[in-house]
Amino acid sequence: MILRLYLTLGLVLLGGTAWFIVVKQPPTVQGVPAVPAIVRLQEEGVIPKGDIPENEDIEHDVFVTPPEDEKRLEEAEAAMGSMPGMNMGATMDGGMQMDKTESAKAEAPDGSAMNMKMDEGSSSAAAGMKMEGETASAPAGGMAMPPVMDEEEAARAMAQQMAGLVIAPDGPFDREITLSMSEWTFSPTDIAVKEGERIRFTVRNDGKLLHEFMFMTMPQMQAITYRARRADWSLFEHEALYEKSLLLPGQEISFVATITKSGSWMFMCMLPYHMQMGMMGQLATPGAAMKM
Amino acid sequence: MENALGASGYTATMLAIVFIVLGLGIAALFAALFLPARWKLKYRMEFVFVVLLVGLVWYADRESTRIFTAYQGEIRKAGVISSAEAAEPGRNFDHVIKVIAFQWGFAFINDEGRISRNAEIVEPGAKVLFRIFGNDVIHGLNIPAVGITAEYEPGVERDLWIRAPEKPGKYLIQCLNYCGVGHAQMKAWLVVREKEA
Amino acid sequence: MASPQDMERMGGIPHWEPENIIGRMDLGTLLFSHDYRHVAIKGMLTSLVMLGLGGLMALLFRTELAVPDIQFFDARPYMSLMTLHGMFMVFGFIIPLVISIMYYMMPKILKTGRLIWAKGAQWSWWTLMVAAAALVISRPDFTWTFYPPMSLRVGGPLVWLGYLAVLLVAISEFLAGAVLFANGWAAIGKWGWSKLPLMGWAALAEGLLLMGSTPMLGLVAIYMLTDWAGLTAVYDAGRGGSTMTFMFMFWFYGHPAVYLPLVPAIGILYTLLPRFLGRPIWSYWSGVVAFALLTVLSFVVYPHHFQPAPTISTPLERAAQILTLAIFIPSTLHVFNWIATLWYDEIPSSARRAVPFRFIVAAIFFLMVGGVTAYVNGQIATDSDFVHNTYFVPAHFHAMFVGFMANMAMAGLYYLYPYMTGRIYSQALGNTHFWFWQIGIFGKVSMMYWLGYAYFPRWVVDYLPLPQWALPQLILTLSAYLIGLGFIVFIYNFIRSASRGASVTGDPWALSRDAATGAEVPAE
Repeated sequence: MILRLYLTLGLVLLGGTAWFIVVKQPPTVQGVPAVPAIVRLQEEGVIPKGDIPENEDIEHDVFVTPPEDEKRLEEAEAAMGSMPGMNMGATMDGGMQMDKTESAKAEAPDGSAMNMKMDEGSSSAAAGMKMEGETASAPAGGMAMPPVMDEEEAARAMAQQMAGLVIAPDGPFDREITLSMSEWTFSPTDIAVKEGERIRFTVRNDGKLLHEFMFMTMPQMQAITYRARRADWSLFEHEALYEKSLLLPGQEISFVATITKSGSWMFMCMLPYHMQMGMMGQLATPGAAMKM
Repeated sequence: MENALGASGYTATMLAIVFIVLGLGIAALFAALFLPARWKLKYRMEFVFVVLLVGLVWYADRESTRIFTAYQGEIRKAGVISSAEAAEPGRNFDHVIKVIAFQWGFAFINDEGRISRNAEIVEPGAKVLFRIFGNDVIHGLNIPAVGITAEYEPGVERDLWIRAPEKPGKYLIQCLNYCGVGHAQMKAWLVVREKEA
Repeated sequence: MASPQDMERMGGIPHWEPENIIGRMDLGTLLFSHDYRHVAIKGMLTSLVMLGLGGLMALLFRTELAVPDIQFFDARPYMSLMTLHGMFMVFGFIIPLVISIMYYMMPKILKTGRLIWAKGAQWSWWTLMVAAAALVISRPDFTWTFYPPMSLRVGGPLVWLGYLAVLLVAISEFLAGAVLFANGWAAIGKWGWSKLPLMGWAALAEGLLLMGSTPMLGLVAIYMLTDWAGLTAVYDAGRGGSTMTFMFMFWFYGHPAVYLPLVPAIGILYTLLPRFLGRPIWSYWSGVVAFALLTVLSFVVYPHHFQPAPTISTPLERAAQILTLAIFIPSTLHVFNWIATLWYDEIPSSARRAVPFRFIVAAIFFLMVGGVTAYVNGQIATDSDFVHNTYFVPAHFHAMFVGFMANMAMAGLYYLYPYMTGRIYSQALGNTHFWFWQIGIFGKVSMMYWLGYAYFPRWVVDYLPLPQWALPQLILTLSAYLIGLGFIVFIYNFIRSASRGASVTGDPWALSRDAATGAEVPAE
């Protein structure tokens, strides 16, 4: 009788605990230090205060983009409409008579910017395949080889144009928004914008940890979710419209964003688990806001 | 295996001792179980055995201390590293890199005062001192290719130095102490690359 | 060697009249009886449930780790599975199980006829039950060593139940330590210091380890609670506390903690080996010295768990290294003693047939496998290379906890089975369990050592798809499944044989060899 009792209780306990942890998953909670060590170290002068210049030598080829991302980006864009940032059913932009898949390949920011201008159709396929950062070799025939930096910036500029969100370090603006990041959210999270508007953003790290700031289109986000929790996440590049890879606590950056199309664009911190815990928001023109 | 601790033969020797002692032990167990011949050990055999063990312990302590003292000595040669002064590169190390370990990534600040996330570049064979500061919780830092690892508490500086691998390439740096949900993803690249002229 | 004095030192024969004690227990007896056999059986059965629970947690996260990439679990639930696995296995399964086996055996071996202060054993069990409930409800993800400040900032609003569970475990273990010490002490009065059976020495050693270390664990748990509540900032570095304080305090318990299941398992081995062989242990005094040395040293070696710290190369670190290497010696004395015992005369065929004897041999084998690596674990130089916080450490402690202690616990359970149920288990199923386990344990331990050498990190839900990591992980997962299967076979055998097994009368472990003449007596 005792044995049967133990067996039953045992099975109930085993099943119950497994269900309680695996099915009814507990939420991820992560507190932060009251005073992060970095603030103290800055006060002591060990770590420089203010903006620390970025190491430009860390080029594109240290963090490469996996080929799988490219494939998923195409799929995401095909599913959502070829021009991210465009409303469904709206007319194609720029009169380009391309079908959806072609345009998806063409916009891939891998240094194929030159190709795009020259030849909308066939060659972009080859360019699109070459997602690895070895962009220093290879651009379209007849072109002088541009320095890698410019190529990357040019690619990003192209992507921003296509997406409808153009970002410049400074310039005239219509309104100002302060975006505050902390653990684990942005404030504000949803920002309504109008087509044609220019907004000067000040993004400030009001948190206790280091963070990142990026703008991405929804398809760009969907392209990388498959590996967002994988161990190799930090070792690869994730394509974005705009990225500031490190913001120390207290640090702020500012830029002017021009909305050139209607649509929606996500902003987030994509350090491991930061986004999953809530550090994400969106800019959207009326009617274009996505469910996040 | 060549490693940061400068101990290529040492690991092999210690592992060899481990395997030999294990082999002898298993052989003795099997002999006791399956050999028809029986052996009544004299008590003094155990004293001999203990003396041998004490010898192995003494040897291990001596070797390990020699290696680690030499390793720490290199850091001390760079001078007193107080929180207000930086060790000057060139004094004993080619580079002195500050590492900020946070939840969940690494920030590297190099000699030129430039910051990078999850990657740092060094020349092949360079002697590099990492001054590691944890920002929030206990983290670890491990570079498998050079065989060094350490864990460090938040706010307390931890110094680790390596001789960068000779072969250019990207080498893994990983956090080796549970630091929260992002621990498995807390990885970085040690990029070994010739300096551009 | 087999003098009458040596035989006397082996203590009373652990033999009772086989009867169906388990079958005749009802809920009241189970929960409230102070009869040592009821108390012990309750402890054993509960520990087996905890083994099942801890094992299920392991199989779940092992399934996730079988191949790279995330398949089933996010990091948070994965770490809850791992935390519960560690805590249930250490606090709920192995320590209570080997102590319960000692509760069962001591009255006969030490000839006290009863378990002194059985009430303390009762309270110990009830406290452990509350701790287990608190742990499951809070499902913490802070690992079984819950290092702050991380452990103070994760887990959600109910994480304090996790700290409370640790406090209750400390109280439960302290009570058990008091019971064991009381029994060992009473036995000294009865036998004298120079003739106290080795199980009595084990009881004294274990009692001192428990009572010496658990108050510190209790204090740690209390500080975790007050830090978490914001009342203190002892460990929280963000508010001025020090994690090094935690390290010193926690590991002061933490190192003796790993000997808590080891010492009773060794005591059980010293008791069962003479029983199966029909002759005394080769050297009584070697066993005594080894117990004493281990007990004393275990309180001073703990810095090796957080070596090398920024205070490296100071005399303290070096002393910790030397003492850590030295503590490897008492355990080798035990192994030397057992092999010498096996070797000095014939091994009766009754022993070779017995399932518990097999488990004893396997335990000795794995104690060697796990023990020799202590040689590289203890050296700061190798520790700073491929040992610290890689899979090398879990390889070592799984070889010990599972390879030695769990195997010895099984030996004890199979040994006591006829005495508790009046029947004999199925020999075939027992052997199946045995082989599944040894193959599984060997696969698990060897793969873990290899992964550690290849710098596989601890506490990760996912890993880079490197071939030297992926293939061993897959084999490790399969080995874990084999161990799980062995456990199921064991449970089935245990339950089924209690009602269907052949009845046993007389001595189920009677020697096939006549003790006086040495002639083989045919098995009945």
